[in-house]
Amino acid sequence: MKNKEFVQRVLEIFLPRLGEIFFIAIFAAVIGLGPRMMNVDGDLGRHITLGSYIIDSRDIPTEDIFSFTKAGDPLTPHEWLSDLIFALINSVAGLNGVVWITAIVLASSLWLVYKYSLNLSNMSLIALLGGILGAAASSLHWLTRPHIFTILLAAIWTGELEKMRLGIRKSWFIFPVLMLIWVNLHGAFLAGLLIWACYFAGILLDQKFSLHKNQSFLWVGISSILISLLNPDGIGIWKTGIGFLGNQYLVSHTAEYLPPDFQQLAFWPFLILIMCSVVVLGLSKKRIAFSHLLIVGGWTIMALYSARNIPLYVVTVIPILISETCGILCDWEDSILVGKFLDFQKKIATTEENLKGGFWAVVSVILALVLFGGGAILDFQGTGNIFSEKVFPVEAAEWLEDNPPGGNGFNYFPWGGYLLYRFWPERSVFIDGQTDFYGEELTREYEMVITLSEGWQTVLKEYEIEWVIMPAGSELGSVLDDNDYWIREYEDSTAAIWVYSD
Amino acid sequence: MPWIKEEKLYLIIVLLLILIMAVRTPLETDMWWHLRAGEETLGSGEVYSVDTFSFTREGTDWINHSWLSQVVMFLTFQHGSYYGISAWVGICAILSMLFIYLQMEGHPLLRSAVLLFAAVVSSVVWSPRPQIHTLVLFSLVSFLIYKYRSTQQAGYLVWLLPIFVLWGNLHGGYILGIILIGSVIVGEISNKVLLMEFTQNLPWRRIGILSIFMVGSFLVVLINPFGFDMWRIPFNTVGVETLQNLINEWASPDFHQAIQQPMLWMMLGVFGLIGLSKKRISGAELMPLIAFSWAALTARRNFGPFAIIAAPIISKYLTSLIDDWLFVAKEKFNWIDNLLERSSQSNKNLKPGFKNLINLFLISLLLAGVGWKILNGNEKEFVQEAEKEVFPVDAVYWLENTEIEGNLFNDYNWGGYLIWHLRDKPVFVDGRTDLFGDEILNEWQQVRRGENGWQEVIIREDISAILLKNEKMYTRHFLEEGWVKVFEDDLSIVLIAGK
Repeated sequence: MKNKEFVQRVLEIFLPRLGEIFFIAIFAAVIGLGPRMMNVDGDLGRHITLGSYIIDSRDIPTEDIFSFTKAGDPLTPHEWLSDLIFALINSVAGLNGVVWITAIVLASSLWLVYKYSLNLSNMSLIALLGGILGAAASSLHWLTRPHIFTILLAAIWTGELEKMRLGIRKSWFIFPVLMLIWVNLHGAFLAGLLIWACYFAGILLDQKFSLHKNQSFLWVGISSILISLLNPDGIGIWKTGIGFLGNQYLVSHTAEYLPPDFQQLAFWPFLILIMCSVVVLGLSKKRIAFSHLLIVGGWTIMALYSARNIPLYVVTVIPILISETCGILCDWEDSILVGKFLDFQKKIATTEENLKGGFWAVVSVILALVLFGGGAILDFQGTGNIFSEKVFPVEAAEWLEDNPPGGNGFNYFPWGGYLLYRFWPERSVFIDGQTDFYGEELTREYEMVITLSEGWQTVLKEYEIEWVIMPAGSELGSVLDDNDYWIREYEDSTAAIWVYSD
Repeated sequence: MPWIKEEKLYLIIVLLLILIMAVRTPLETDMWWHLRAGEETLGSGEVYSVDTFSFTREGTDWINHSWLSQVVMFLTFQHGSYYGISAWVGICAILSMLFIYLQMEGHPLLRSAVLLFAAVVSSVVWSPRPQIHTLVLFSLVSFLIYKYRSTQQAGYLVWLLPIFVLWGNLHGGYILGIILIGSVIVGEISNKVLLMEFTQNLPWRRIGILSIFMVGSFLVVLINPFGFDMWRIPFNTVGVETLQNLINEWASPDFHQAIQQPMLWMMLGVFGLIGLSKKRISGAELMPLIAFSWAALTARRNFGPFAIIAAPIISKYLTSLIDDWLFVAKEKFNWIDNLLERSSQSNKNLKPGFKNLINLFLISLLLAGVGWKILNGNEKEFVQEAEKEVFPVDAVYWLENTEIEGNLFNDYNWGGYLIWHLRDKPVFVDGRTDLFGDEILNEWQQVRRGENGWQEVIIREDISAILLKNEKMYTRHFLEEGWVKVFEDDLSIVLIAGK
């Protein structure tokens, strides 16, 4: 009898729950995609550089220190806490550590989608399907960048708001705490307020504008808005976020703000989710709650407007869809097929109730870190978590180290972050990925130069550009080649460097 | 006694408003090669199906799936000039909207408002091209299916056969009609499988009849000059990868552009109304909605079919929602009942003669608006001035009067215009993407962008002149290779090969 109990206890600890298997699968997938995540754009370099500066100087910069084009201009450090986290991890575990923390955050976010879906439906298989679709839809934005914290916080935020709506959570204090962390981690803290607004407006509509019953919800909003001012730039962080989104030129010139292109298969999981929402809304016999309708409708609009909102769509909408699906299936429980499925679900739920869960998830996370520490290469490409020389001017940077040109350099925009990572503080950049800071005017000047539009030489003169680093085969490069004053000093398959000589 | 019933009055007014929206100055490049093809067909007595308009595909057999539309367009242009073309587009637009209206439920004012919204969404594809016939016939087919479902009279389905015969000769978009019927069948079957009862559920026998007519419709498409090849057309066009990168209407919607946003609002409107309803949607409505939402999100040219499917659903669910709300509101707020009563009474108090006068005045005003727009926007001189903003009118005039040996490399968007206006010079490429395929379209991109190997294309195709948009990024590599600028204006540039 005692042996039986012992075996039972061991099984409870060691048998994984469905959600745990899902977490491990996502964690492994993100680890495997490490190099792809790191090399999609050059922003990681900037984040690590800024984070390192914060660690060394114990100061959060509110003026630009990275470029010579906008040196000293006021800067909103809206991701300083993320930068700090990335820099700390990098200092301990290198770029492997950055990928590792990204994997934990993304796997946790999607596990929360599964968890909240399960809480609302009590159907683990359906919740798992939702999680898998969500992973597929959001995977295009699995990047080693601060927005991963927004995805995680949005998942937690939505789940807790739903608990409040259902009366499970009584206290609202967690929300200002979450917002305090969020506003210092990433500029998309505004998404949290949008989600809250959808819930609050929906609840008022459902309850016929009874404010008395919904004071807690009101306090969530008020406290979160006030607490969002507790950041190094105060109200400036609001101006930066809204200012950027309001700038049509910058938004239309930032790839991730463009709408999803459903001609590409990679966006089809999102398209499938939209169609699923039609099916679910259409087949449900109950009227959907207004707050859910506003969340589903609102985030569908946001994600169709800008592809970068797809992960937020996933974490806010999927639990609602799963909850509605549960309602539909329960209406059909008289059907043999559905009845059998519901019975099977109950059996899974009963089994999982007894399982502690979490053991293998913790083991996976620790194991990955240990393996990275031992020099193992865990990515699918087999290259390791490095900045790719096919994407970034890795070899050209080696040459620059050995042959440092004097004066200001004009750099290819996507390489700005990488160049900061390699050379700051010895060298500043012309421009990097922080478009909300550089603004429309400088971005237009940059575009003028790379498209060789009228006045491009004036831009180079104005900023006293002494050297240029651009992709091999660029149009600007071929024009510089024809110019007697510019000498091509270096070239490889990725980048070329020209130095001005009079 | 009012000479026109209120319901019909709303319909007439909204159709006239739509007509005003639809009659535009025809500035569509593809219109011109369709006109030329129609001219060739009528002139020779045989369907134009061997390419003579380009030098890259000269002599190639081509499935000219829109031959009948081209004949209609040419005859319209020949006898009516730009006025005729504009009116033809307008008539097709209102026909497509009329068949939607006939499927709608609810108060005439609500139906009219929804119809106007559907028109705004569809209007992005109202252009003087054969695909406007697809819009009309798609709307007609959806109306026939609706009538069949509500009356279960097979007589409505009989009309599908001649419609698809016509469609298969008017435009390759007939496949949308097949998809519509197929999705309704799948929807009806799903109602049965999921044990969902609706008043308009078709019994198995009726589903079978619909399936037979769907197959029949697909078969009668073969009654066309190209036979079985007509079945390949939808796949030929969709399979051209470059087409999706090159042509805006084949691209996914860009909701950053205000003109495309009505489709987004319509989509969310229909989803929201379904969500707020306490009733389930029938599979026969749900499946087409999913199919054409998917299609519209994948390619903008499907906005029209989506609007045709969504509008009746919107009117149905909006009517139901308003009825539910009014029922509750009347119980809570007595003044609503009084307001409605007074409104109805004041309408009755108006003398019929006075009402007739107002109605006549309104309709006359709108008709005058239509007339003004057709006449004003399609006057020859006006059109020719407007064309200068879009087409290389002066460059073409220069080329007509200059002898240039060799072939002309042209901007893709001007191919159709050149086929009509510069008849002596075959084009490199035009809007017949199914004819040119990825091979020629990729070469066109290669030359235009100055990508590796562009000079080989120039030599192989014996190109001695270039006509492109006057943009430095596309002309720089030509000038660097010694091409000489011989004509230039704000819009276009002509370069010829230097010594």
